[in-house]
Amino acid sequence: MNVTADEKGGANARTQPRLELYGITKAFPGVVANADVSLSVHPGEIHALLGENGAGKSTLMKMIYGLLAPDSGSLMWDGREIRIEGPMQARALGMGMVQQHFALLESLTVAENLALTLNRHGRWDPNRIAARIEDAEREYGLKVHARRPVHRLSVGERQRVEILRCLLQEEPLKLLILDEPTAVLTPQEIEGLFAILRRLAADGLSILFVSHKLEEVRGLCDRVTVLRSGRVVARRDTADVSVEDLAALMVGDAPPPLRERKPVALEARVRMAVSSLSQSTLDPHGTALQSVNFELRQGEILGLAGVSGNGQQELMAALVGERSSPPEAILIDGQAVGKLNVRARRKLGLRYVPEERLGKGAVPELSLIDNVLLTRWAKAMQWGLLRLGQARAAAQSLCDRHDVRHPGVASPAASLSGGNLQKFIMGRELDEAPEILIVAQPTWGVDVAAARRIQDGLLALRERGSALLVISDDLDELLLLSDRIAVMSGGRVSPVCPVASVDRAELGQWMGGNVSGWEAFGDAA
Amino acid sequence: MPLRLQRRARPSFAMRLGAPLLAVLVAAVIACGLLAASGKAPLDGFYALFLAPLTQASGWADVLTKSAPLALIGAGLVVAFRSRVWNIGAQGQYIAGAVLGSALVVHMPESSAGWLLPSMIVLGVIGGLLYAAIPAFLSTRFNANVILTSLMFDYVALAGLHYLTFGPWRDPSSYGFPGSVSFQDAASLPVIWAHTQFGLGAVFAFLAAPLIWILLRSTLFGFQVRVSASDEASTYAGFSRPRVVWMALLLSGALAGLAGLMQVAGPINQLRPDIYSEVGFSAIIVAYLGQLNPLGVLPAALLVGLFSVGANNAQITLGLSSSLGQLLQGVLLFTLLASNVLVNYRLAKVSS
Repeated sequence: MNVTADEKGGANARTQPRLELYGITKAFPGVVANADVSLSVHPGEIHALLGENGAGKSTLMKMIYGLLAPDSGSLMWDGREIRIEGPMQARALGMGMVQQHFALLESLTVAENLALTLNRHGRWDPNRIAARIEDAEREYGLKVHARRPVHRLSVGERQRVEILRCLLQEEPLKLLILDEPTAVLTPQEIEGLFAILRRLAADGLSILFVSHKLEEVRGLCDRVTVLRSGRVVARRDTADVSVEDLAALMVGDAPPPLRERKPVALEARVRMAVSSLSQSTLDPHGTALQSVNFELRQGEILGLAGVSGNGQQELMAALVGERSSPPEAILIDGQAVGKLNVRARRKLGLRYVPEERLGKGAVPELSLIDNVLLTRWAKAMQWGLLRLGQARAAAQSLCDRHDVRHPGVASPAASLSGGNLQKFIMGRELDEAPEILIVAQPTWGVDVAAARRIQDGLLALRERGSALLVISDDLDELLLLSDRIAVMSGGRVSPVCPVASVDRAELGQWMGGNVSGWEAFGDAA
Repeated sequence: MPLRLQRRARPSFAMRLGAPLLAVLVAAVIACGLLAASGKAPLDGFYALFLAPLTQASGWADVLTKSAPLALIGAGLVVAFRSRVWNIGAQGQYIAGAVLGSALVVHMPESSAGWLLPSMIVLGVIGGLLYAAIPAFLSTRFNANVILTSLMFDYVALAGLHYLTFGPWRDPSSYGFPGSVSFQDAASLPVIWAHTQFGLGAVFAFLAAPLIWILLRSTLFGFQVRVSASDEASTYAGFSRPRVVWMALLLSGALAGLAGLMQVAGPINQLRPDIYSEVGFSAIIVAYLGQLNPLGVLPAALLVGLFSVGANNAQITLGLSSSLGQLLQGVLLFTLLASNVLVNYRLAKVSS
């Protein structure tokens, strides 16, 4: 690590701050993303930037990294005021950023990927990079398979590759920005990441850790800056603050409590049954389904946990009819539906909400009126024409009922914020009171209040007697919502067990690909 | 202060209207520059190209007549392009419609039966439709690229047209000139503007655009076309992509075929090897100039029609090359694509 001795010493030492922000303000049309934000990070400090989705964390990070220019305010680096024109300059100063969505080419090896961005002026030489990766492994304990193609890596490994890319850049790394780094990791992988980060910080690296997960912030970081609606509402040493305090600071008013969970007085009739479903994948980097078995009953929420990319998308495509399967592999109310298409299965009462909202759950360039019709067109036909007036009224009442903030139902779906769009899409499907609802990542990227609304909606549908399958990589949410839970890993689905009887650590093991004990558990469920 | 392109929060409606106007303006300036470079007085050239046709009623009739097939084919292409089906074979479909519609006349040149003209129209539609079915089949069955197949079949159609008009369908009394017999009145669409070529066919051609507008807005097929902006969303909605590809190609092909028939049974009055005059390609420009909006196609078709008449006019009065019209269209397509950037982006000053 290329830091001088006097820079070491952690946050408490009275050193020159590495990065200081003063009065940073940034407005976008219609919304102030950051207002008068000040922040300082010292060498060797792990500093948390805590806030809900939409609080303005990502915008702030983008301004530090030169991806956006602030409207006003100043930025100091090692005591000098600077203006960062772009990521190239940020890197030249010694900054590195790991974004939520990794920028890796799947078909290249780790060394080839790194060779593309590092050493840009020299010859393209993956072998030399591979040697440097091995050095880095010794130095920081960052384990990465240099010669393995990226598509064979787990998400945790990919993240380590991104961190490594920052560490190996030409200018010695002084500040590492991590944007929601744990969102895609298993509990075990998170521990591994934290060990690496602590070691890097001990060597004098400053780390900005962007998160909305309170426990992690308390466990890892030295100091925390809390953002709410674009403003700094608190700065604390994490040692002085409890998780409850942090929650209150982050959310402001306490979030509305979740709807009370009522027992459903229905026989546990099976609505959807999946048996021995195996399927290759069309995506060269996807995951094939391997003999998936489970049953979905009426009046229950079945949670399917697992790290993204373990076959969830493939399973969803098969369940809803986007891909056909052997007819008997999927039964709805006893009827073999494997060969039925999306339209036919929707007629049988199966509705679903895909993970991608803009571009699949809604067409960005079409109006909210048209987007209401996207999954309801079959009922909106009259004499061969679409009843547009009725669709307009439906869009209006949908937005009113589900508190979707919108600039008019004739405006395109792309003009909605992510949270509002999700409320719109969820509302569209929930209002149809489907017999079976399959939802992927119901509250991903949605603020706490909106997430509560969505979760309430799911619970209400469960009480009605519908069968719900919720696919998510947020284990906490699944434990909160589900009656029974299963884990997906490597294209396989674990035995289903009642939420009351699961062990979090064991679920984590399963999510990480350790499938020992799956058979034993099957009988208990 | 340097300028930079900044993404707009949402596409600008004003620019959707303004971009084509800006493009036309820039294209006109470039055209004047080209005229100056070729040693002509730019203002004279500009006048001959853009204004002279509009100074007399017959000029207007010419422009309307030229625009009609462009509006008809362009309206069909809007449906195809909005479905993201890149049918650039309207040329071939136009020829196929003209040829199949002419077959009746060639085989019964003296007939004056009342059913002749309606049958020709139906055959014209079927010709374009069947010809567009080839790329549709190749695309849905073998996943062949529609751009390539539809374009290549243009040349096949052209070769077929040449074979027929120089060979078996040549009028024996034409002193060796290629082309079929001239169409009798019973096989021709009536002229409704005396002493011009503006006929009933053109009127119907201009009616296609509003009908397509209603189709896109209010029918299930139109909805499928609009949702085609996103493949994933189409799948989610439960729409079948092959079906949309078929429908989009058949519809745009049928309209192109109808346009071909209306030309041979209208202003041209004969099946000739030169009936096509790039109209199928100009219609692509018309569709985009109209911002892929069926109603936008109407002014766009009139403008491109004006270019075409103006270029002829400039050739006669100033001795300019007749390829000037096509050159202008090319320039216009470029400026249009460039100015369309402003729909989604705006120019912003970068403070430095």
